[in-house]
Amino acid sequence: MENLPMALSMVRSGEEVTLVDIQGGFGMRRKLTDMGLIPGVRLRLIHSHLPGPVIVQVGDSRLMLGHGMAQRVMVRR
Amino acid sequence: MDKEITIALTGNPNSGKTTVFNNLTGARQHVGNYPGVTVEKKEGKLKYRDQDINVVDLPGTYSLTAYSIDEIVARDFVIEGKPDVVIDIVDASNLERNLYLATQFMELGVPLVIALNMSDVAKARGQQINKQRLSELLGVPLIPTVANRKKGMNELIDEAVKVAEGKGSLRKITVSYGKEVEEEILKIEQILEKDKALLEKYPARWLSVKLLENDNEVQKKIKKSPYAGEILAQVESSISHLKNIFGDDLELVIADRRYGFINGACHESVERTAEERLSTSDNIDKVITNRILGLPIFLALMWLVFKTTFKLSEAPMGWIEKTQEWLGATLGHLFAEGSALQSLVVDGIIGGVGSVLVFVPIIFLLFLAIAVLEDSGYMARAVFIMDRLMHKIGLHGRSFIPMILGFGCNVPAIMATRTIEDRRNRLVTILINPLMSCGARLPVYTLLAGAFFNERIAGNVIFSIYMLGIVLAVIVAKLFRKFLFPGPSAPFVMELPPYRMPTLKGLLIHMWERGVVYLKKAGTIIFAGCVLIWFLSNFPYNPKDSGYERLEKSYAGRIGRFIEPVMKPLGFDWKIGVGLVGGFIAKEIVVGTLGVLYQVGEADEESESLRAALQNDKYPDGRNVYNPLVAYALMVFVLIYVPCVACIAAIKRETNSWRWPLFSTFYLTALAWIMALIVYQGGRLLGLGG
Repeated sequence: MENLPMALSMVRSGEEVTLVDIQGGFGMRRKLTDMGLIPGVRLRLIHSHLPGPVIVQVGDSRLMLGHGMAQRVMVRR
Repeated sequence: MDKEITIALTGNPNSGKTTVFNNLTGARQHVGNYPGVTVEKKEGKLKYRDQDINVVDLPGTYSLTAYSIDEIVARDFVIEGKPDVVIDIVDASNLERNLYLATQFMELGVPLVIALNMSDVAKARGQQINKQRLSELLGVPLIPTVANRKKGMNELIDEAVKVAEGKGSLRKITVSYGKEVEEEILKIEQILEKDKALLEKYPARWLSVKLLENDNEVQKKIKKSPYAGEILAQVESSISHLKNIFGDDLELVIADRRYGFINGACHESVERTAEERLSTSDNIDKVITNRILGLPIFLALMWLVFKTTFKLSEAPMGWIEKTQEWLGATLGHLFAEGSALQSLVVDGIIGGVGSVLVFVPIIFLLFLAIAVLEDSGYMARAVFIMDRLMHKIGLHGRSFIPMILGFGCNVPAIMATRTIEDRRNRLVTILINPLMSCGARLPVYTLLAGAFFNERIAGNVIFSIYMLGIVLAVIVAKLFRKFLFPGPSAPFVMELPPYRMPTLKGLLIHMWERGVVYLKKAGTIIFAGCVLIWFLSNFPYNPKDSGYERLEKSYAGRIGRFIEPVMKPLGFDWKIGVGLVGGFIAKEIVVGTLGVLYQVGEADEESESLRAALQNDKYPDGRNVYNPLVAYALMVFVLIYVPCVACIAAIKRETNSWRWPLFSTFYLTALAWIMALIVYQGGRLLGLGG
């Protein structure tokens, strides 16, 4: 299946994905929201050191998500 | 003349806020702390057209939620400190994300000016921003700036003063959260109207939105209101009503609307003329964060940093030593030869404080090199590269910068752990930091390695001590994470700034901020410590005694004898014990104390006479006190045992309790004893040493 949500940590470098959901507590979701990671936003994987950390391009900013964080951000191709 | 105007500077991390602050205030800065928290408060003064202006640099934040202490501090200052105007520094090349913070200031209803910083970078990327239009859409004056080239600073201040004086002409705009949410905001606002005292401090709309967002700090404030019951009941019913419509993600809906508002504004005012292409930063990143090349490049850079730091500091260290000798000789003549006062000034004060000042070049140069890595954007990449490795010991990449700083001085390193949000990670990082061998421990190694190992391997011997510190830090971190602070590591996210050419001014300010901590330590704690150690090792005072006799009979000598039984299994005699007691004040004092004990006068780690004295020191039965094995065990002990007084004070300040400084004193001393015992006794079993 192509379009099942998967963890951001599983995405390869160079791919583009859409953020679907953040599986985490209140504080973590808010933190990500503040940095521009909201559901529906497009992410481009710059670097993925499987299984994390990853570097993603979101709009004009480039964010690094640590190992644990990347596993809780669910995306879709 | 008008009264002083207060400007608060705010903005996202990496937006160039610090550069703007430095441009505006120059060297007239003052660093303090916000009351009750360990968040730095930077203030600076400037005069603009006869107008006195006080600039407060708020912590860099992405938002004004109550997520982190930085955000709470920034928010409270803006609400309670009532600055006359807030300048939000916005990175024009990353406009939408940066404006998210601006929308929250708009909501707070504070007088606001936006500095559209790095407008040159945005232009180079093919973005045409119609400032006039964007300014109208946001209802906030917009000033383009290029902070690292000092462009637009006057215009910025000009506009800020105008807004502060109430001469702003723009219509205030608010973010609309959509019909359903707006209806509930209105209901809450109506009840809030009853509490006039509350509304004098906070805008009703802002309170309502924050309550819908479930903001803890605002809830606490509301609970103090006489109408708390009524307000919170309405909030609860509003939230449950909205959750029926939007599901559980109410805060996400609110955030989404803010981004929607920004998108709309940008859509109308920003034109992208060029297709996104790979920027220079992207190309550099391809190599530097490469899975295979990343780590070797990082290690090579670190090696280069340490090599140049040590090389370049050799000359200035020599000058300081010469000055110190000259000062000792000159001032020594002013006092009666052999008097207690002469000894206090020459040996105690000049000798003691001098031994600390000698490290100023090393420490400042190391901090300068680190500032280059940080300001250029490389350090953020190093965090990425190290994240995988740090994860294995239960920490994450962020813990890594304080570890590197620790090689200079542990005190600023421990202060640097403030950027780690997760409390458990932060504590572990603080507790293992003293194992990073600071500059002050180096002279002890240099003395011992120089005296007991031949020249060819002395450097490697010292290197092995540094490595031992790192290995122990890794093991201890793993153990602490497992037993003391169990639980998963908090996930983290951080921004990777684009590579930038650092400015000299910025570098110097960064170096100074960290280095001055060490200078202060030399001036206060170490000064007092030197006097104390001098007293302990000279009293009861008898002018007829030789230095050695005096020390033997002194309080310090008695302490040394008293702890000798504990030191014996490590191969240390009472004199080493005395030196180690002195090292509690600052580790570099160990060398000076040994100098006094062996009557070689002004001793430093290069001193041939002290080396010879150590080599020739014998027990009454004729055995040598020192041999390479004892020397190595002593180096291991000095590496690990009690952090210096300044370090303990820093741990106390940063953890806000006596528990952790006491704990680290205990665990490090115990670990030092065990490790030195393993080295010494193990070495003897293997037939090493004498």
